[in-house]
Amino acid sequence: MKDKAYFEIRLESLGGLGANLCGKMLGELGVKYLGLNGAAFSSYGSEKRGSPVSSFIRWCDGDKEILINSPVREPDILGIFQENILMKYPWPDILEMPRKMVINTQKNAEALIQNYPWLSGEIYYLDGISIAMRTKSRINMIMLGAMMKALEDEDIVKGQNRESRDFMSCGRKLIEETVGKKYPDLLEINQNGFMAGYEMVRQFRGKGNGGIIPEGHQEKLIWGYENAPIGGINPLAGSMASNDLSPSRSGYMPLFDESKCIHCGLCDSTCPDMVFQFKKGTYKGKEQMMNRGLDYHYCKGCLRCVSVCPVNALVVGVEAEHPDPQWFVPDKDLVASNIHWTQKASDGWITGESYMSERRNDGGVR
Amino acid sequence: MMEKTEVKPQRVLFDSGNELAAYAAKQINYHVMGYYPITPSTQIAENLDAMKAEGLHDISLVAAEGEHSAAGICYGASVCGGRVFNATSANGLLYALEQLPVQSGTRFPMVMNVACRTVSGPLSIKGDHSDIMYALNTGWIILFADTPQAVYDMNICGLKLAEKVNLPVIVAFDGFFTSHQKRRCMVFESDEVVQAFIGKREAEADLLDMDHPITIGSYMNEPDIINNKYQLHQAMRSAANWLPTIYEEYEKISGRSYGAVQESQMEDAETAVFILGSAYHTVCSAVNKLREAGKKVGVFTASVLRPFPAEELYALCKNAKTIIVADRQDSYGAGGGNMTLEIKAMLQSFGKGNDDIRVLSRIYGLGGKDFYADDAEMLFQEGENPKAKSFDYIGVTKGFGGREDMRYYEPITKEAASPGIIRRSMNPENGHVQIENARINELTVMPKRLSPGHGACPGCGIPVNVNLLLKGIEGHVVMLFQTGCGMVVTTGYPKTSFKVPYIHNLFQNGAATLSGVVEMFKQRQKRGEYPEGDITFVMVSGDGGMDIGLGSAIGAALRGSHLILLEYDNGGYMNTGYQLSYSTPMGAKSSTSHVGPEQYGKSFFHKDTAAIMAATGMPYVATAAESNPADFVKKAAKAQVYAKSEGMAYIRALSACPLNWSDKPDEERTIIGKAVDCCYFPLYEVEKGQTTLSYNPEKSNKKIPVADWLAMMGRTRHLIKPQYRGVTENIQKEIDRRWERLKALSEHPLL
Repeated sequence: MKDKAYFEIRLESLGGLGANLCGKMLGELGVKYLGLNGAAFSSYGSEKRGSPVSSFIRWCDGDKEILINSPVREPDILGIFQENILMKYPWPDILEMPRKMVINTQKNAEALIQNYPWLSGEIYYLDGISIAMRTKSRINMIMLGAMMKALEDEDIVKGQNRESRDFMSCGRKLIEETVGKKYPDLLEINQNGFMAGYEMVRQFRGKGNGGIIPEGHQEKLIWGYENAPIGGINPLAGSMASNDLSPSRSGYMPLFDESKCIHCGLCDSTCPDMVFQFKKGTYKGKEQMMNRGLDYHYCKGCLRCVSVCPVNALVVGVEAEHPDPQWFVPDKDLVASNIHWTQKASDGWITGESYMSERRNDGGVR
Repeated sequence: MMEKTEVKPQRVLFDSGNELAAYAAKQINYHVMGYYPITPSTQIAENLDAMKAEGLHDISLVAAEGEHSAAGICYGASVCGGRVFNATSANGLLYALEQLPVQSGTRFPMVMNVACRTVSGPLSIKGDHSDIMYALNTGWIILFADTPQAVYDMNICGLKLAEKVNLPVIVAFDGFFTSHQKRRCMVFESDEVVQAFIGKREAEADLLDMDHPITIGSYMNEPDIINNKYQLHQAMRSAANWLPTIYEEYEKISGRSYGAVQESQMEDAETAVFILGSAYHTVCSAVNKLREAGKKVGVFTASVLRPFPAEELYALCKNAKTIIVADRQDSYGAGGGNMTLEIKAMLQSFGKGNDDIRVLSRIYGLGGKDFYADDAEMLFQEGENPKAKSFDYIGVTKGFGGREDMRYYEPITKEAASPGIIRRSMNPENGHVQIENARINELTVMPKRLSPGHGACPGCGIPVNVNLLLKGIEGHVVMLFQTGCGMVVTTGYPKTSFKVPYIHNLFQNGAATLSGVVEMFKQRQKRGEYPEGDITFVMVSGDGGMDIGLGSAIGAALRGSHLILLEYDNGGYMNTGYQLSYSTPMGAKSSTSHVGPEQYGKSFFHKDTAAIMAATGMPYVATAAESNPADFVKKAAKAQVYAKSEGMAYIRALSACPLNWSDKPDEERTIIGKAVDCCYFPLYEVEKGQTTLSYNPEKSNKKIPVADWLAMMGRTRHLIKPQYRGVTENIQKEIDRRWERLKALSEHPLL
């Protein structure tokens, strides 16, 4: 391993899972509890649900300065908050395989190796979703616990004269300071999630070779100064149709039973994502517009349509159970024949210390 | 003999530049902060508001309706003998710009933090120095902080300097890199230490001094203005003299030393880089590496831009053979960014020409493009190349691939968008437009003008409202969005969600812009340059855009511009992390109206924008809600008729934001229905001055107390607690007052 000036951690996540806060807390752990110098920041884009978020943490000895402000591209430890992110390998802005990875996944070790044979180094994995459901804790606290498991035998952690010799009690104190002060009611469940993350994480050695991450998929079109229309003008009308929005979902999808449908159009009136495909047809002997189904490519699983449907033709389904392509009714107006889907949700700029940023991912505290 | 001062007790924080600017302001306990949220500086006001809710300071935090007003609030406050604070970025700084020379020219000190960000056109929010360079000629002292720690220290030293020389001070720092990055830093344990260091405010002039009345803001002619500016010039000179003294005093209490410049390994450096801000440290690490390889390289920077530290910089670089000035902005056409120009001028003033010291200029990192240590090494390589271009950009992409084969949708034809389902006629009795058959099921035939795949949050109300509006509008449309979530999630480059022509201009200038579009359309048609036929011009704005852009919207309404304005009112600046807007419900918590022992959330009532717009006498004003979709579409169709024939039409729709309302996406339509039922958001239209209720919940026995609606959202649920009963009662009273008034209006044909 090459000599590095800093111990570096990178978290890969999606907006709404709280990776930003987790990164902040890891930075704070180093500075306030381990006597290290540290820095923490996130990819400064959107915190809108579903958009990719990266968080970067640098540690070094307490008497050294941190001179770099750019993203961590060669992390010692990489935290993956959602398994989806593994499917996007090779990641364009991570240059080297980390020594350790912490992965939130519902797969076991065998399945991980089978699906992602390139995984290398120490792989820590846990089923954060199930833990979250059981403990009601947020994913980021569970991941924090798992990250601490991966961190505890690192030299930079072991070598410090920390206040308390017990690494995990540092973590508990940290959560008390961060979460406890703002949301005292949520402290206990988050502590439980944190401990469960630490205890439930399991480990295997990846069989991949590690090292440099190869260059990934090349886009068909990259606009630069030679070929981009001047002025930032965009002539590709409706091109957002090539965005893959599946990461925005939180596990639930509307299921459509056409036999119950009365074609009232309320679902179309409430859908923010233009998912419903209405076409002319004959219903009860009368020619009219009929609901022919959903283009699930664009569904974010908000379930607004399920709520407004007066006849239960739309019901809630779990996303994973219905991968069957017959459910897809493609956008009827789309003329592009071979869309190359790119995983890109919103690109907004929520960067404020929004009080919501530390709320649960399920749409709010009940 | 000098009195020995001890370093005062301090504690370690792990905070960002924004947090530390706020913390310094809290310790100083400024009297007034006038501000307007803009990324990436917004957290400064947010953090101060959070501390205010906890009772940690007394600063009056005034959320203006735009940066121009924020700077005006600051100016007004600063002439009254107290201490004043502001924070902004990018277009906020430019919008406030004309206030800056007044602040300095009339010599009232204050401190403004600028978290530097790229200036719009096209819009981007990331960090570069294109904004701060506009401030070079304003007469403000400009300190540039390269770390979060320096942000804290310069906020304290800056105020002392400002008051010493009676000039306002900007503390500038890199947006995101410094404003958002958390670093280990030290702050004084006691606020008194900070206050004692700065000293008591003894204002040179005070508008409120009734015993000595003064006139501020004289009108001056040519014999005098030059003298006023000469005084300003002298003050700037004086600032240059005071700064080292203040830094020295500060070092005694803090243990941290600052100067006008910084350097690393410059003493015998032959090739040197000059670079501002956080990237200075990145170059330092490259210098360390190249020195190990025996290269004679160095780096230097300025920590103050005004007064420009020419002598100090010259002392550092006079022995260099090549200086590469890296600018994070360009002075287009000048052959370099502003720092290039200033470094060249500095060398020339000491008699050094390009033959003595070669200066290369490189533009880097625009729009926050990351600057890695490798990039820094590349700068030095350029410096060693005798044939290197004197001016260039680094980090640009050529691009590849054509777009010929890429087509997602056929253009929407007028015919396809005119299914003729809605019937429009005129009521001969009152001359009002009558709309029939706005049927939601049949109207599913209308082509969507926006494509799917946009990035709005799950359950977002914006596309729902825009789609409902467009269902009622037949034929060709041209759309304009003001800045906000709706615009950002639909046009993230290199993609767009619009299938119809679309334009975005500045946050507050949409109505004026679309007026211009309409006029050109009419002119070209009149001159036979453009085919016959109608286009409906539709502007979409959030309630934030209707705060900062209200003047522009009213102007368009008064002029009778033929356009439709849809306001989606989600009650907050959601795009920047939910700061309060004037339309946020009273008592709602937001990131600038926290709830705590000293605060219950937003302190004033939601703005009745529909009433304001109706007062312009425009032909058609309506409120609409997705809970009544057919009514919504009907109003859209009506608006189209009025926009074509009479003037401007305005529709306000309550728009759900699950993220910041803190509720469930699938319940939004119900929650909006309850807002209608409690008369927080009554549905009505004002057609040619006559008010008609579209729906009266009293008649159908559906009226509910406002508390029932407030309880449905996380942002207002706290108001149900007994300690906030007074607030809830006040909200109920105001809603009742507006509702009774509305009913009275609807009952009288003249109202």
